[in-house]
Amino acid sequence: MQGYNFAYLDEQTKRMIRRAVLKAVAIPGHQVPFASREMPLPYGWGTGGIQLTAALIGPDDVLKVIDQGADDTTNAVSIRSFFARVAGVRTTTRTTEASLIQTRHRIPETPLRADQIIIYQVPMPDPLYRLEPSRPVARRLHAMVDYGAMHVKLYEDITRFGRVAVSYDHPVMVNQRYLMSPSPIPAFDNPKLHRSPALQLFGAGREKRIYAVPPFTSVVSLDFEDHEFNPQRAPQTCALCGSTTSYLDEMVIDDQGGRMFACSDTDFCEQQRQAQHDHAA
Amino acid sequence: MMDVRLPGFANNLESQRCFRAILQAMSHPGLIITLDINLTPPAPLSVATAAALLTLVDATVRVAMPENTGAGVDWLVFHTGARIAAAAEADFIVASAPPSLANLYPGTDEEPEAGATLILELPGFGCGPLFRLTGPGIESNIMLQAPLDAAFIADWRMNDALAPRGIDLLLCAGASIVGLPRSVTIEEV
Amino acid sequence: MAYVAVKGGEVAIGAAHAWLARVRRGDPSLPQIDAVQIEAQLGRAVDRVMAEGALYDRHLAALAILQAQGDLIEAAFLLRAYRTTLPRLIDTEPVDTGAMRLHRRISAIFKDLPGGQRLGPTTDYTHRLLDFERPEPEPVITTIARTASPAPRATDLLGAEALLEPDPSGTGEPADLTMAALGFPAGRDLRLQTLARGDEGFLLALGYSTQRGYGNTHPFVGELRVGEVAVAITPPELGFAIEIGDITLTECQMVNQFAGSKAVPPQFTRGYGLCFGHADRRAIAMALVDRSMRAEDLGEDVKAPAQNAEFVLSHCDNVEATGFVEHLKLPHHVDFQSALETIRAMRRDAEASDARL
Repeated sequence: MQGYNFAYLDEQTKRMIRRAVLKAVAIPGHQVPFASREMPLPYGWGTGGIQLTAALIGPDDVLKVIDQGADDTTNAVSIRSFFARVAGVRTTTRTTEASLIQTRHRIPETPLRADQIIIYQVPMPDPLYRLEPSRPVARRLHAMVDYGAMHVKLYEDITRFGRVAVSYDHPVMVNQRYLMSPSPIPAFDNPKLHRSPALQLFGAGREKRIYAVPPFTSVVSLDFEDHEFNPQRAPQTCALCGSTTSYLDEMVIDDQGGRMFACSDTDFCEQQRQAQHDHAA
Repeated sequence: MMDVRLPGFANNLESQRCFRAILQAMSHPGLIITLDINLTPPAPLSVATAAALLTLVDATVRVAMPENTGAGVDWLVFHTGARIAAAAEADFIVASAPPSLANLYPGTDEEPEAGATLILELPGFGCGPLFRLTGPGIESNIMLQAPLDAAFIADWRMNDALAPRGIDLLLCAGASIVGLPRSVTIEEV
Repeated sequence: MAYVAVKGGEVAIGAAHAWLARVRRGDPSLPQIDAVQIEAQLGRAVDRVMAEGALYDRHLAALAILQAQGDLIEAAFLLRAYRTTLPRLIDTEPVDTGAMRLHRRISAIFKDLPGGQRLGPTTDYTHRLLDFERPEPEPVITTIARTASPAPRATDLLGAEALLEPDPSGTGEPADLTMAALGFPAGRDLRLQTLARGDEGFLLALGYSTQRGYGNTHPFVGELRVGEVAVAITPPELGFAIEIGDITLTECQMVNQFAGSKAVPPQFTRGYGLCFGHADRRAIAMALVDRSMRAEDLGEDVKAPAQNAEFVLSHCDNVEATGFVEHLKLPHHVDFQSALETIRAMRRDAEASDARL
């Protein structure tokens, strides 16, 4: 795009972000501060993820962008067209074809590979923020591995509600060292973080933090021996592909309380239907 | 001063490509990755070291090149504007004989990301002792043969003990790199 | 041409943008406003957008206001997103507000003072009556009075008697929050930089809260001045400073009565406000909040919101704030679904245990 550098960001900004990314990879789960820039999209729309993608992407990449698991949600469309415009890269909706996947709120159902990188958009990088809003204090707690308050909070949930009442952004321990926000993915997706072959990068633009989970790294959702981590999924079947294992969106289809359930991961759903079609033919 | 005129990267996409190779090296410790880059660095810098410096260094970081007083330093400052500093204060240290890691800045428990990166020039990979690496980025374990001595391995064990503080290492030989982030455990076999 | 995956969302976005363009233009039978008119006639809006957009360029600010349909926070965002792409060529010399060519200069603590009191183009004593019949403008008399007599800062006059603390400004290179993530504790340089681009409404509310007892600072406006200052740079190849232009600034020097603490003897202390353009409200509020955030340094108890530097600085940026508040309208149905299933499961658990009783 005329007047702008390849992938929008200037080279100095990219170097600053790249240095932060390498330190994030070396210290799995630790939030590295960076001089986040104002982007042409508002804070909250994925500026952290966009800056990471901009610092990583090259002409050989194939980019997939999803929001709520879907490629055709408006914000995903907008971010994908931004990169098609400023970097001229190929984009795809197929998880298997992508080298870079930028996501908001989901991890694709199709398992990722070691040659793929997934970039999460993160609103609140510090998992302690609800318990300790002061960032300098929270940073000290991370330094001292003092996560007692989080365990107490989860345990209070169990005594009050009989189960952990966190249904998304469920905190995880990374490499047995750092408590980390997995971003607001449903707890259903948390197990996919554990020992994923793909490099996982997390960007929080407004909060100016970058963190990472290297491939094959231990990521354990916080739980208790007597109350094991037990993520919820709508117990229905996808009305389009018949999947009984994928994460489902619930849609209201009439004013009589009628509901329809369908895969949140639109690419996964399409591949399932394609496979059934091929099998039938 | 001749060497200052040796070129840097031909365009921005070369630094993007090198960064991705370095990122791959750091996320897959022990994997030997060869840079696809056309660069003529000033002696004695290897292609890989020169490319890593051009990719990561600018006027906002401090670089120490304790063994390198002439051409390499001039070339680096000319192309990147890097601030030259003593090894103990540097963000990046370039050396061919491993300095004592205890003399480099490991960051603090609150800011471990301030820990330095050591770019270590080796004569090659596939020679010297055999090491088994484990840690984040490695599926179970990976073997690396590299000319690193026992003193360095002892030093690295102390680096491990500093966690989350520590020094990250990028091994360079010719146009190849191997990443050894502080999270990696190294044992001689 | 890159291959781009296209879906329905793209059509919807395209249609929304076309509609927006029509709404922005308004009734096509009316003449279109030009950015030049905004720059000339909506100067206070331009000043606010320059301050919050952190870029002194009257024309670009006017263009942003026009593009944003007069939404000043959106305009500041447009300016910021442009500013961040600009190369940094050189740092200017510090501006000297003592040498300001004054349009306006008032002191609330002296009846008269060297250089005199000057109202300038203020609304302070206008009667707020809507002009239903807008009168023909009077012939404009531009007499930007170059100060006949020198007008030293009122705070310098006080300082001579040692009743006012010395200016606590630092000496080293000032920090820059656009080049590193804001960390805490933040020095006064960073605090002032953050306030200078902070949201005017937020600064106003916080400043107001200190006056109502939430961290009282006993403030007096030592001086408020508006005028032009020269901006100079020292190119390394020249080695001496050259002026490259003028900017209009508003400066507020607040003088705060201070009973003293364990650390500091009784004296007057300072609060400081400085901003682009003519903006009394912003400069005064900024000075109140600046002084309030010095509580810890001066050995005062930190109890009120305006005294908590982390709270103030983390929430005063309206580009950040509007993004995160408004992002709630983006789709969140995946998380909502997860919350729904958790609540359903909790209710099933509760019903099951009721049934057992």
